[in-house]
Amino acid sequence: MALRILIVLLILAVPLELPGCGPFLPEALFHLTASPEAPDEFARGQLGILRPSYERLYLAIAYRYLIGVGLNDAERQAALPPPQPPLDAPAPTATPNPWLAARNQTPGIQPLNELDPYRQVKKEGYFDTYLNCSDDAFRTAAATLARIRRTGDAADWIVAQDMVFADCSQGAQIPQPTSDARLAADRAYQIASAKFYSEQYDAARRDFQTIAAAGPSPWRGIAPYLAARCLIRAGKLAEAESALEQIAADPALARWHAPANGLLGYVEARLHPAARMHELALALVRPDSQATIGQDLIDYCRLFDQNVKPQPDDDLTAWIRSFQAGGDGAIEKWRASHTLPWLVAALAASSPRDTAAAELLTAAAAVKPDSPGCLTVNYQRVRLLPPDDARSLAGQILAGNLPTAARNQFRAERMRLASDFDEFLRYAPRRPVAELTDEVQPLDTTEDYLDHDARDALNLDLPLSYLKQAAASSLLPDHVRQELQRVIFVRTLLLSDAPPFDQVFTLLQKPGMEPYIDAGYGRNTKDVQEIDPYRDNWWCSASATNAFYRQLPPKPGVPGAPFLSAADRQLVAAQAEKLRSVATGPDWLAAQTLAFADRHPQDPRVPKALYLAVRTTRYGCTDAQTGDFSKRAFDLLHRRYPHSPWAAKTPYWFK
Amino acid sequence: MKTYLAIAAIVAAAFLWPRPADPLPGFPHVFLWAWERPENLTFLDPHAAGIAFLARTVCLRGGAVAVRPRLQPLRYPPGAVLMAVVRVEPRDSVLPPVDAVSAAISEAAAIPGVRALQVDFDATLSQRRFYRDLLGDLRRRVPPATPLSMTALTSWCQSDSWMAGLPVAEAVPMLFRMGPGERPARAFRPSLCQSSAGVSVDESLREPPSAARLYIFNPRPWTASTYQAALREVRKWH
Repeated sequence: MALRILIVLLILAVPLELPGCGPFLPEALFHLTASPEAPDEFARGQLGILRPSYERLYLAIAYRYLIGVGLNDAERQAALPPPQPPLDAPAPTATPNPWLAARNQTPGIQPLNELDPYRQVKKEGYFDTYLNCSDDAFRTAAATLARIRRTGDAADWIVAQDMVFADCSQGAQIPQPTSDARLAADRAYQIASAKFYSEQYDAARRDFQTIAAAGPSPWRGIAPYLAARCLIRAGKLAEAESALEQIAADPALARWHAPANGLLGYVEARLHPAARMHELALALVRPDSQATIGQDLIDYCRLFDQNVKPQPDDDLTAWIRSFQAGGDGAIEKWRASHTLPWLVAALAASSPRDTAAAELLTAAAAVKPDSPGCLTVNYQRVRLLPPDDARSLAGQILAGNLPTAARNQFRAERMRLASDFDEFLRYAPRRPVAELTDEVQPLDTTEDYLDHDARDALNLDLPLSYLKQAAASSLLPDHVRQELQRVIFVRTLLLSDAPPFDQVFTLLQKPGMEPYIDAGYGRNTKDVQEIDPYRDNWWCSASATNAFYRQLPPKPGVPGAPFLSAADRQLVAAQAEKLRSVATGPDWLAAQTLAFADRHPQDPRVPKALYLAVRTTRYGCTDAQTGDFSKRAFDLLHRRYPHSPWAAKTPYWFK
Repeated sequence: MKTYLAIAAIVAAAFLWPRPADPLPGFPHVFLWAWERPENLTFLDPHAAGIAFLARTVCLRGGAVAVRPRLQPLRYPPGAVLMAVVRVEPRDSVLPPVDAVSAAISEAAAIPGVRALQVDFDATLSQRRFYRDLLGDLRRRVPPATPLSMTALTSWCQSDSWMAGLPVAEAVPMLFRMGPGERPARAFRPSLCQSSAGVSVDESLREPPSAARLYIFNPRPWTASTYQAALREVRKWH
């Protein structure tokens, strides 16, 4: 007795949960919501079915195509962010700092292995770090070293440059002026740069202005631009704006017009955000914008994220805002403009019963097949047309070549329009385009699965007799049919007024069997006889406290089987109600086992069944009653069958 | 009778066993985690809470170390107790030499005003030896007066013993963002895990943690109201 109490105390003292991060079990995705499945194709005008939930970067690109501007090759390269390497990708070849590479080749110079370009802000009550020395600075230094080497000894210049770059991360080392006339101009530039990197912005600006006003110097052209940068670093944005405007207007500084305009955009976004956003919106729809579109898209999206309202308003911003907000004002805009972007937004905002639906559908039917908006418009037409017309249109489109994600979405609409159960089954399978673990990765597979709409219809809207038809239908993938057969087995048992014990006994031994079918890959542990380590075992009731997310009991939504007769609907409602009232898996199985054990104490299966019942309470989906069932099964096993091997394998019961 | 005496002895031991001394004496009993986003914590009462801010991320890839410093501003009131957090992110299985990683981490301890250093590293089973060596090297580099803290998966504090003897003042089990259906424990057996716990403002706990020091995570930027609400909740626990 003392030992038992000690064991129980120890059990109570040691938590039973298995904590940790994740798990990030793979989830099949049939289309993406935040970005297109193939961004490169999207940027070539293959817009697929445009979704309002896409990042604004993609909506801005889509808008260009919808108004007929599109992207040329150079614009496309500039507009799209470079793909992120996966976390487990091999290390990229390290790009050496060009300055260090050039410097370390100089005879007699002690090699330097690294240079920290980040500098910490020194301010009371404030911590921040910023990129002080950019890659451009290191490239310029490497090029300057090559020039100086051609004319003489570079050692002195390198020592001074080391001081300049030491200021990138900390300190304020300033080189001394040189008596060597050949290096005087370069030294003046080094001194100004050192002051700049050591945050002496007023002094640095004066030095750069002196260089700009002095006689011949290789740095004379860039000096006014750097003087303006000093103003920005010092937070004197209005003065910086004025200085940059002067540079941009000076024909003698033509070489510096593009960088000055770039900085001007940066300054204006902070000084006059509404006006700058308007400028950016206009720039983003101009053709041949390869020189600016990359940064403009970043700046525009940043201002959008800050909820800046462009002043005056512009069509691109109004369209993105309306499309993302469910088509707010889109029908009026379309009526006023009759442009394709607004037709897309108005269609997406409409329902079949809207008075505007007819005129929108007429306009949508006139969109040419080679239009970048064609798939989006036709998807909305299928959604809005009367069922017979919608089926016909969906059939035509599905007969053609489609990107997989678009095909999945048309199949979903077609399944919703199914006029009989065979049609439902034909369009239920979909092909994943990506996989979600801790991040989304593209997927290339030939295997089909169920998406959530088909899963919900099979789980909630169809009586058992239809599930049996589905399990026998060659329209579904084999693995779906096999899962359906298991679902039918469990449902039949749960719906029965007197569940046969031999089937209960089978179910006790197969934790992968449940009354509901899964979408996507389903249960992570594929062998139904194996316990799933993430507690995806048997089924959960609504009262369960530790439901695995795949196991949550489905909730009724929009009915997904319009072809059902009234009698079938009544039947499915009754079955669904009974299923909803079933206790969580471990409780139901333990209750059946205890009842059978009471009636048939001599049945040789009972000791093993009691052991299995206790096991369900450890690994299944539990609620407040589970502990009581577990203890009752445990007590009965040890009281009535104390010498059975199953009692020996059951040292504990579980709360 | 003997049985009852044994039970009584166990229960008494559980309640009367002396609590370990505070491994961070003089530090606040609440720390706000300030992750990589602009954070203005000037509303914070330095006597009520300290700031454990992400100071840098040390990426390990292909046997090399790359340091990404914090690039978002952190504002704090005068007198705030600062703990620099360094996140270590191994990107592949080729780990760099321990001393290179340790040197990159230790630089955060030199940030002006920083009084303690916390290392955040999700070491896999095969990386534990590396992590152990890393913390040993780090302890030798960082001034003795600067306490070392580490974050910990709760499993490390529950069903694992690999942290035994690590040269850190505390391990902070993170009682949030757990797996589905999992419930954080209230207390842990290893002494390293007993003094502190990490919680999040957006996840309620079924039971308050028994740890005397709490680190509070916020998935959104801190505001005066979320800070006050977090303090109110914590005061209910202690």
